[in-house]
Amino acid sequence: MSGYVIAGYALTVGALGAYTVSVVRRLRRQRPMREDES
Amino acid sequence: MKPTRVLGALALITLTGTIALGLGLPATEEQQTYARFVAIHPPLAWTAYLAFGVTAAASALYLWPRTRRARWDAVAEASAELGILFTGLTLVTGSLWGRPTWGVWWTWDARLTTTALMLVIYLGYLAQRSAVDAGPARAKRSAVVALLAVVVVPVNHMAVEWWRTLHQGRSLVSLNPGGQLDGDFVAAMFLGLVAMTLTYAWLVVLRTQLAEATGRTEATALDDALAARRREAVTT
Repeated sequence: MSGYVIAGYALTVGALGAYTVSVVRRLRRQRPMREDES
Repeated sequence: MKPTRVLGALALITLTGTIALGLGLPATEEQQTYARFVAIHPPLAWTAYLAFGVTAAASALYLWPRTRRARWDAVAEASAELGILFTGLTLVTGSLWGRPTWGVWWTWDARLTTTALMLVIYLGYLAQRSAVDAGPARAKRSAVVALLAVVVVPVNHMAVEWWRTLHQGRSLVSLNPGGQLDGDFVAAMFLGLVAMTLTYAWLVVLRTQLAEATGRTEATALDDALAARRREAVTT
């Protein structure tokens, strides 16, 4: 298996995963804030 | 189960399937194992087009007085951010594909150049959004910018037809019966298209929820701070 192909797949999965984790974490941080206010 | 979670689960399943199918594709005489990029590279580019198209559509809905809702502005922002992510990944995977097959990481070819231009234009779109405070004025201006920016998408898509280029023809044409790609490659690319589209749809929902939640927090921040100061004044 070529290193270029593995790097391409790994970067794609890694970037999409990192973005997802970042959005979900920020969303969770916002939700308790809203609940505290109410 | 919430619809967002169903969408997330479907995205994860199809993405896993794409990786398994893509990495299992046979080596070809012309491209060897590098042909395995077909399962992710064209789908990433397609999803970037979709994301910028949604940004333009949401912006048009915001500009139209009858359909004006703050949510359309949030959708436009979320989709543009995802479009940038998918465009960035298109450029990275394209570069990794180009190095062993073309012999270069980058060349000022029409398709590559218009893709880079698309990335820069939408980075500019997000930059102008973050330069001013949130509100109707920013939303309107951003919507106009998004409608102007989307012109680059068809130019990028048609670049391989309009100019002489190193890049191959439009990949989506390969999905047609009688195309140049073998069945396994068409199946992997099609699954990749489904997986990236579902991933985009899931993330745009989450990112829009985040933009709306942040907007609500910012809108009430001043009132909360004033209320806190008043409470302090009463107790002292």
